[in-house]
Amino acid sequence: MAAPVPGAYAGGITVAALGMLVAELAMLRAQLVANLVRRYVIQSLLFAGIALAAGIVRGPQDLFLEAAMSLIVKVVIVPLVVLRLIDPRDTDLAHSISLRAPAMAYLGLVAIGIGFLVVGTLAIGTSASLPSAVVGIAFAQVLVAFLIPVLRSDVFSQAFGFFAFENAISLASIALAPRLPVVVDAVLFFDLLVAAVVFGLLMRLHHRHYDTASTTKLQGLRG
Amino acid sequence: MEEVDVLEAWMVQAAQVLTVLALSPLLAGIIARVEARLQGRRGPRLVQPYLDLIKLFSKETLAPEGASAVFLIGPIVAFACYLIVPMLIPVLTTFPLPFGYIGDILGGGMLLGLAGFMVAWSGADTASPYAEIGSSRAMTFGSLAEPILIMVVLAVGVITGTDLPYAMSEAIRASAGAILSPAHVLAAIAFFLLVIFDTGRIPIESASGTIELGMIDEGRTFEHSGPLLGLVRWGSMMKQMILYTVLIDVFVAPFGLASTARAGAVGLAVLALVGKEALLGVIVAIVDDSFAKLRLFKITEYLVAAFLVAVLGLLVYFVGVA
Repeated sequence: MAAPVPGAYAGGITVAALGMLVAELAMLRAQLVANLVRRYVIQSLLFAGIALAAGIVRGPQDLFLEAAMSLIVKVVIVPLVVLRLIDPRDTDLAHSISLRAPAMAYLGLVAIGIGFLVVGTLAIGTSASLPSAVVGIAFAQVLVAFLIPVLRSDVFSQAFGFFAFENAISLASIALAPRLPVVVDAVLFFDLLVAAVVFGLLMRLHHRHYDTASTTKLQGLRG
Repeated sequence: MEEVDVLEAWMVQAAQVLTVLALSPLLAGIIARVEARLQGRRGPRLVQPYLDLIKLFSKETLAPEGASAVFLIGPIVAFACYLIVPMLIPVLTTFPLPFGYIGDILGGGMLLGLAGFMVAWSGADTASPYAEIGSSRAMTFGSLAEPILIMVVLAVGVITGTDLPYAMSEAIRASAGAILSPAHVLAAIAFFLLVIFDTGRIPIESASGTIELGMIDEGRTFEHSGPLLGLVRWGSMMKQMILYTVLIDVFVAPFGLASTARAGAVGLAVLALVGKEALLGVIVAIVDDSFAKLRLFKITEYLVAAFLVAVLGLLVYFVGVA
């Protein structure tokens, strides 16, 4: 028997959320800083698109602000700050990846499966702004975002893992509580901005000091 | 009263095969032309693939010393496989034709796999290092691509409730919203990635690449010449058109097909098919011109990504996210 078909809005939003998840999976294997940044930008663009569509179709209109802030902070400021602080041509991330592509893919799938199943089991109620499927996808994104810094030993991945984590949390927050006061959203974004600057400085200092992006050198700081 | 312009079922069936047979070089010509234009070149004529085939078929066949009958039979068997597949898939009609149900979509995939194996075997039979390395690579990467096809078919199969191409196409057509179903979108993306891989386009392989470090498909046929090489080349073009047809008429846009056996409707379906496939060809040419060729050992990562997307589609369906 054929499966029930979601409406155009629910289908489109779910596909965009899955696109964010795929971009995050691609970040797991990025071997150049530019690729890592590009995939994060794609993920953030998709998030802004979801927020915009949800604001237009279901409201509340605060989501327009969230979409605009996402575009400004995540698509423009964060990549600019990171790429200005570091010359991406000097850094090769290939050696920081601890597992081969198939192993990473399987781990990613396990994380996604756990994310979907856990949320399905909890039967979390969602707002009317986004389809309920998005909560499971957002939770899977949270788990995959954890994998990025765990499986990769370079400062860029540590930072972008955190940024991707923030994207996942933002998506979940729209699905679960779209009427969060604007000031809370602003605080979240300010948090991200500070993180971008702090991580950016950390990356620059680390790179200048050790002439590498690998965090394995940081073991030398142990007492 | 009997209507004179209604074709017999076997005639429409033959028209499907003849359409793929006759128009596949045109599709290859369109893609080559668009690709050249995107690169700022004038490009070959649209009929250049036909002229190349005529040239090859007018030459004599040469077999390397020590080659067995496999060398001669391989391209012929492969070509026969490419002729059978259009009978199983909806090339021109929405209604199934007499041979439409003799195999499901996996059966079609197996026939394409058999064709690839026969060409690889006939290449390896020559004991030429280039042909052997090309055959070895084609089989190695081909084995990695199989799970993707299985996952894609499984995903679309569970969405539509069938694995017969005609029925899948009908299910998608009956509910256009199904095209936006997340599991279906992911399966279609995975299949598109598979089509890029199977047709040897960038980022996998340059279409007529002869650089030994990256060569896969071209390597297999290094020792073939004349009509046998013509069959292999024509077969490759048919395979490209078959895969495009499956992507369009089964997965993405099963519209513009003839719903009756009237000659006019079938003729319009041929024109619609050419238009749809040319559009897809333009997209492939844009992809071709937008990316760099992957290093050989990176191809596995590309296939892993396609596999991941296909499995994600299936996972999304089974946990009810779709």
